[in-house]
Amino acid sequence: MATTQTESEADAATEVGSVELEVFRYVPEEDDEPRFESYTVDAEEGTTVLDALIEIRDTEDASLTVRHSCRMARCGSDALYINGKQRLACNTLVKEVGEPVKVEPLPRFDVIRDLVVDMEGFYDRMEAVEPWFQPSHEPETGEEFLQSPENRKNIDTVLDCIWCGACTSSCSPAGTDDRFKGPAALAKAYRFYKDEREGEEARKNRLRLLEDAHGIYRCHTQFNCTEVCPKGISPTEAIMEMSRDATKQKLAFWRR
Amino acid sequence: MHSHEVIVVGAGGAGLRAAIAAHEEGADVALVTKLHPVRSHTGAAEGGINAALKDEDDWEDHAYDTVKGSDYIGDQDAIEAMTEDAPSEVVRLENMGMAFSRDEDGRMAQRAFGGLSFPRTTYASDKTGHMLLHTLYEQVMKRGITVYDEYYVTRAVKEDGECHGVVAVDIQTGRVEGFQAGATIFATGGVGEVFSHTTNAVSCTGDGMSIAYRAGVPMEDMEFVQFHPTTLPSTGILITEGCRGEGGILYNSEGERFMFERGYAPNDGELASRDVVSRAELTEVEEGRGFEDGCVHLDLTHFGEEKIEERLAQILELARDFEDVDPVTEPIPVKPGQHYIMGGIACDSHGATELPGMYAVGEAACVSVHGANRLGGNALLELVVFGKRSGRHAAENHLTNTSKSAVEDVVAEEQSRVEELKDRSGGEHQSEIRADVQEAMTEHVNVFRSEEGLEEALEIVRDARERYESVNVHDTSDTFNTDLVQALELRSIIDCAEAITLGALERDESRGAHWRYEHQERDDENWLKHTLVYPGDDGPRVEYEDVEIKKYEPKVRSY
Repeated sequence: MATTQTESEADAATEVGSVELEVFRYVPEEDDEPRFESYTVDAEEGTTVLDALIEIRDTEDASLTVRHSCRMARCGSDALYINGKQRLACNTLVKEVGEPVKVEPLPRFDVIRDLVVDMEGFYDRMEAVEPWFQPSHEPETGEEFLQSPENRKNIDTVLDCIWCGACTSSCSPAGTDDRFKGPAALAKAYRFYKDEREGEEARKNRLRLLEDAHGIYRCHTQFNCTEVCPKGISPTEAIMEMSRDATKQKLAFWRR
Repeated sequence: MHSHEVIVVGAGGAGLRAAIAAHEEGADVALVTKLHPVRSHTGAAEGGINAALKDEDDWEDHAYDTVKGSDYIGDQDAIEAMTEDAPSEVVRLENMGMAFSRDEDGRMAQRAFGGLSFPRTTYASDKTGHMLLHTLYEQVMKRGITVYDEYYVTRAVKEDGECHGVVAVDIQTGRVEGFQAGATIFATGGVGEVFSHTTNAVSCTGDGMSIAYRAGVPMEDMEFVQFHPTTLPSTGILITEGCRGEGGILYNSEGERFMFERGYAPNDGELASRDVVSRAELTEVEEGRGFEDGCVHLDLTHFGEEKIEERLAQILELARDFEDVDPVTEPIPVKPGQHYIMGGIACDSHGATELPGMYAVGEAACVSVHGANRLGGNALLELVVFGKRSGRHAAENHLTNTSKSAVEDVVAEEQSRVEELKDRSGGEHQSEIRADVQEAMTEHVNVFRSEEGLEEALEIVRDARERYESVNVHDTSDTFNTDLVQALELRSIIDCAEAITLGALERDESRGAHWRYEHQERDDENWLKHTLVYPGDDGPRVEYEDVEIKKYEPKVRSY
């Protein structure tokens, strides 16, 4: 945002004065251990934490490193730990979090450098739930699957996931169990689990895949993930629903 | 050294679709991206994807709308190929699981969009790009296609008049690595970072266009840059055309529905094509009927909260979070902002460029289907139709005699270029040069263009190129050095800015998104042709090429 905002636009905004940021810094080939660096930037009413970080990088310290791209809470690159909570830097206003603004990389992820963390483990977790459409049958060429607007609405609750990792970073079971799929991956699984186009057989298979010791039952229903999700998704509720369904199926089996 | 039959550079919608198509043809294909696939800017596309799906609709009407939208400079054979393939490609996306919004009967929902004679924009709320990007990436995971993420491609390997692959910096480690390939497809997206007020992500730096150009492949029709009529004034964030498609109204400060009342588009009003609406808005502002920050108002308050939440949920979030405006109760201030480039790497309708082994697709390419002005809903369509075609063609026709040593030579050369950049002292920082280019382009190469302004912009851009010769990278580390990546990107920005400005200066007519004060009419006699900018020893060389006209003869364009 700061790189794309022209001066006239900046003039029109309301000044909120100088703001202090404490930023986590770590460059592996230069630093023995991480440190915090203090910076001061001039902020306006609409200045986001990402704006402030870009301002520091472009004018003060070009070595400050943060992943970012779309600057509109869509690409999911810039989930950070800001004043003790996982948030997207691009849609968090400096004035809303209080001073000093303490900016750290996502907890429970390995740091590559500064605010950049290793996402590979997160991507592996996503992939482990087979996050691709598994329809009940191959359609004829040119034939679309029908889906009721109600069913489409049901999956709308989780479709907005941008893979930012905020939820997984906030989740204590995900922190202690590497094989636990974690909230983002389970919410992704739920997106397919609830999609009526996949059919009953696929639904059962998906539950089976998620039922092991590192799956849905690992969730402690602490709602941390729900609390931090920048897109308003509740992985906890999705996981609880799948757990209930799995339990019901088991009971149905024993009652037979 | 990595080696694959087909390498796709860029993993947005076009790149992913191309990789899937190549894989389906049995090729060994890999994706190389400077981001991770789900971070790509396709995800920010909001409105939808056009296809004549309904019985009452006809792909030939879609073709005509696109030709008219292009102001008759789109190639009609390519436009027909795209619009005829559109229904099957959109159904294909659905079959891959993409979560389109649905009508009561369970079929994919469609809505009205600018410049279309039928409501054929298929959508997924106002997050169509997000759904499309994630669906295609799901299919890439399913197929186990290799993805090299966070690799920044710096150069194409050219030897004996053929493309042998690319060389890239692994951003995480700083290592320079070679990718040998029998076919290289550039799907690197647009050039938003050439401008200061843009809807685009900061990653849209025109890298593919610059790399292809430096390998001798021309950039085509770069002067045609789309300025979207509804962007947020403080950030440039996009407010989808879907707002107007659903019935949103544009007002000036006198409370007039100016698109109709001031005669800009007596038939279609707010749903005229984007170039027409952007010019109308700026005319209103220039004549004193705008609001603060050079804005007009986009009013959705008559929709009610439920409709906005269902169909334009993201707009609600963006306006509230980034402009502090609640669209349920108050109008959204909007102004034109750079959004898309119709031009790009010159290629045919299979994505093949002049250089054997090199392909282009998506916004990075110029097929050309958008001509002088792209219609909303045709960009996502271009990605999937030409993604499939280029991936398939590359898989079937890739070179088999590429040279490993040619790639190794370029790895060594790029390695020393990177080292030299990092070792420099003195000179200006890349962020200063970048900002100057962006501001000059936004001031002078915007919706309205004058000869004087274009000449000034060209001078600033050429000066930036000289300053770049001694550009200074402050960060000397190897690990995730974004200062270095931005310095490398700046060269792409300068290359694209020069081609855009030069093309605009030469084209002394007004057509589509390109409008000149001195020549306010379209001039078919002299300018019914494509601009091709080639690299030359003394800077860019401009050539021209005929437009492919089939059944639609140019006529006066009005909405």
